[in-house]
Amino acid sequence: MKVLLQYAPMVGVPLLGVALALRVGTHLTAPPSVGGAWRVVESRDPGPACPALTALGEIRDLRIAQSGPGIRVLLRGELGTALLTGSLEHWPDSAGERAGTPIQLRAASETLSLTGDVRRDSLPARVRVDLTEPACGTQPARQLIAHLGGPAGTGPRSTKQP
Amino acid sequence: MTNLSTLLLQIALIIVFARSIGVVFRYFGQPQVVGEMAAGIVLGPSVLGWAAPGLSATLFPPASLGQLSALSQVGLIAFMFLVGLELDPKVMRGRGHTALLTSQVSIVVPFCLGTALALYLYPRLSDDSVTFTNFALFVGISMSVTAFPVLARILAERNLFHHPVGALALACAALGDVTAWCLLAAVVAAVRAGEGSTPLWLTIGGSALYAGFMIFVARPGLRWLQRVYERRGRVSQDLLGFVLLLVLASAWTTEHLGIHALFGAFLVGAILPKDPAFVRAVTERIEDLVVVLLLPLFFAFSGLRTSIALVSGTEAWLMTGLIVLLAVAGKFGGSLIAARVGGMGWREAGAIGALMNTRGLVELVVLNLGLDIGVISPALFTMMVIMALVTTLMTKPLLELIYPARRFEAETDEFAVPEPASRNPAATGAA
Repeated sequence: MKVLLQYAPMVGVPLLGVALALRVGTHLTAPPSVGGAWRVVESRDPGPACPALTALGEIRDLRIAQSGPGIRVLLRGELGTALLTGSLEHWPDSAGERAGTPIQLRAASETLSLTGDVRRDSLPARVRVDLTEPACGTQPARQLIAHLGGPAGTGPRSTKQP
Repeated sequence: MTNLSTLLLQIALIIVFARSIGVVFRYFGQPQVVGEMAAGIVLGPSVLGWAAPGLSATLFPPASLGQLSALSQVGLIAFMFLVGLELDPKVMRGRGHTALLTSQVSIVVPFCLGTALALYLYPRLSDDSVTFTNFALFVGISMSVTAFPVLARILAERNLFHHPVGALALACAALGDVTAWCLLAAVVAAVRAGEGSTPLWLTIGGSALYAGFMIFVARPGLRWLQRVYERRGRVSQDLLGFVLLLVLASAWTTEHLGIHALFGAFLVGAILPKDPAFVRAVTERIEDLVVVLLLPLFFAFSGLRTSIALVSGTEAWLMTGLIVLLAVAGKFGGSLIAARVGGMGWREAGAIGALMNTRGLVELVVLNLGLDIGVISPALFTMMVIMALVTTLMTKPLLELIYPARRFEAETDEFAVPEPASRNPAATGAA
């Protein structure tokens, strides 16, 4: 009996706390997921050639690591890589609204800045990215379209502009 | 550089860093494992990647990390087997009520605080690909683990296996280990079932059946291993090969059941015969390679995933502080109160709390698992790694403060010590 009297409150009460926290937490929403490996399927260079982007070469994929609204975007080019940090800009609260609304993201490094929007409702999920090199002008120097976990071995379709 | 050259260079560098930083930590009275954990962080983006990004990219190119990861996983499987092997049900006998109460309270209180903390962390550090329930359960578990091997190492260093405090701490950690791994297996199963790889009922039913088979059928059937060992007087290569095959087969089975390979390896270790000589002989054959070569690879791989830069800004550091605070309050406070209620004095109960609060590399195992299955984010992973380091670092100073070594030494004379601590398998270097 003494054992039960000790065991019940000391183990039972925290267990009730766990159940309560789990119940309360079901009403919480977290930022939309944009993380993962995105394979570039289309690449355009509408602006002038800029040194930081030239140093990367053709960008093959984007790796987005997400922690809540914070993101780190790793651009993997054929000649090098660049890491940009940033966050999601706007996102709807409810799951229903999220389905049809693009999720805005923004990130930057010392030399590059990135804006983009993610459409999770398209199949496969798609991200459209504008890369700007502030030292080189305000117009996007490169525009990318990437698919989440796209087919391996397929390189981006490049559209070079003069 | 070829893939093999890169890998060999990485391994050599990791061993040099792990051994040398480990020695420095040992000099300051800390377990070597804490230094090895720190060495992993030094080699990652937090230090080397920040100070010399070019060198870091050359030494650890992203494309080479797959090989390092695979090797570190093999090391972890071997390590979990050793953890299971060290687990001896006999240490729990005679501790009865106090051990059961303390071990369960030391799990459930930090678990409760962890799930409550998840209410704050979920919108800030997670995303909608993870359900709140999975996130909260995982945060709860990662706050609840105790590093059984580190604890055993500290007890061995102080020759405390036969002191009431040491014996109770060991029993609590062993019981708590079993509880925590079962809970973790359930959460991993739930997360993986959500991904649609294996149905949840199959994972849970299959795992329960498999564990039952191993405990009630395979365990008695494996007693012949000890007889073979006694007849030959050593662990032959054939015997060792058979044991390793068992470990691999069990790891493969649990991986395919939808939990994780680590649980299968742990289970085989737990069901092998517990004769101290047999355990010691098997441990000695495997341990050096695991501790010197393979575990540092795991630490380095964990360090490469740990980026202190992710914890930037006041709010992020406050979150980290809160995680550390609640982890200590739950584990140290929970164990202390339970041991006190169970009949120990305040000082003894405090020593139990300090010992149970050590998380060490078992926490790293849990966190890497969480990151792999996507239930925690990189920033939360980093915060939790900091928590693991802090709680492990504070164990010995806190223990010294509450229950000084000279007091233990004076009291140890009152208790019989039938075998030297170094002969206890738990006292080996696997910490």
